[in-house]
Amino acid sequence: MASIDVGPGAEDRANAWVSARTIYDENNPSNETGKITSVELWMYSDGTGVRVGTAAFGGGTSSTPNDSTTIGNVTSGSKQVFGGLNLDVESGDLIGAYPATGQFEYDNSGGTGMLNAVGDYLDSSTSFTRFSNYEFSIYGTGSTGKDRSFMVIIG
Amino acid sequence: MHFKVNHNGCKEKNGMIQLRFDFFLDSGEYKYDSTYYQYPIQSELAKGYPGEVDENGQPTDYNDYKNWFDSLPKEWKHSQFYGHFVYVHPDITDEEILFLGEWISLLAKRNWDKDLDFRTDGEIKNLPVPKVKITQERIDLCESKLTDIKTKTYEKFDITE
Repeated sequence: MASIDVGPGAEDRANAWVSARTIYDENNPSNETGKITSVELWMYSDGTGVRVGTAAFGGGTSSTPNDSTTIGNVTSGSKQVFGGLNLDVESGDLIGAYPATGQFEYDNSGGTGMLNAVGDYLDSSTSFTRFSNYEFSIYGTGSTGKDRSFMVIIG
Repeated sequence: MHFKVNHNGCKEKNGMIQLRFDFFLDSGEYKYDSTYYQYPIQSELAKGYPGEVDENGQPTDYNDYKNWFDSLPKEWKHSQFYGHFVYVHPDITDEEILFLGEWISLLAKRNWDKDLDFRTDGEIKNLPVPKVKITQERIDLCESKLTDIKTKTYEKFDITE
């Protein structure tokens, strides 16, 4: 199995993106097809109803959602690590997030770009607005291997 | 150390129940202070930013926004040091949920105490299980169990090796 990583990294960044938007990060698309099992996030203000997902854009701004799941509330001000996830990802997919409330940290320079749509579009297709050179604080890692879900085996 | 099942991260996914466990340090444990943070009092934050925002809802002057945010009265909050998800069948028992929480607590704490990267170096190894056949009956079973889970508090305190 090969390692997967997607997204620019969950870091302390200079700005805070408004909530209740779906944002995907064009930096570091997924290098492989498989499962994302860990997600790192850095928020400026506490998040509630935070969801994460993967989608294909094919270099454009229209999404083809792949998979998503709910994280829930996320503490702000530091890197928050969530493991054990079971999120499908295809090679070339972008990683994205939607916070019902709370703001993701982002930079408006130094990156490839960020895609924004008002509302939760992690599970349905829509057209996004591109913000060139932007990047926000999200990072997913996992491994290749198909048809797998993950749980802890007792015993 | 203690853990809680965080209901707002629990959901049905692919015919399984996704459970979110949050793990917290207790006083005196390694880097306990790092899991506390100051945050604006919710009632003050809810009044909203009074400054100008653009068509995307973004403050036009981010420094002004940051100054407003920083000026709000704050309180101390305690954060988890790690969150972990597991996927379980809908016939899981309360005792098994508590057992899982305690077991993962110990693994998470070992990572934390060694400053290991939870993503790559961790001792928490979720094992793969076969996909289940997703039927409406299966989804209903999961949803019914989730309703039950969300009426209960799953937590355990004073967990030690």
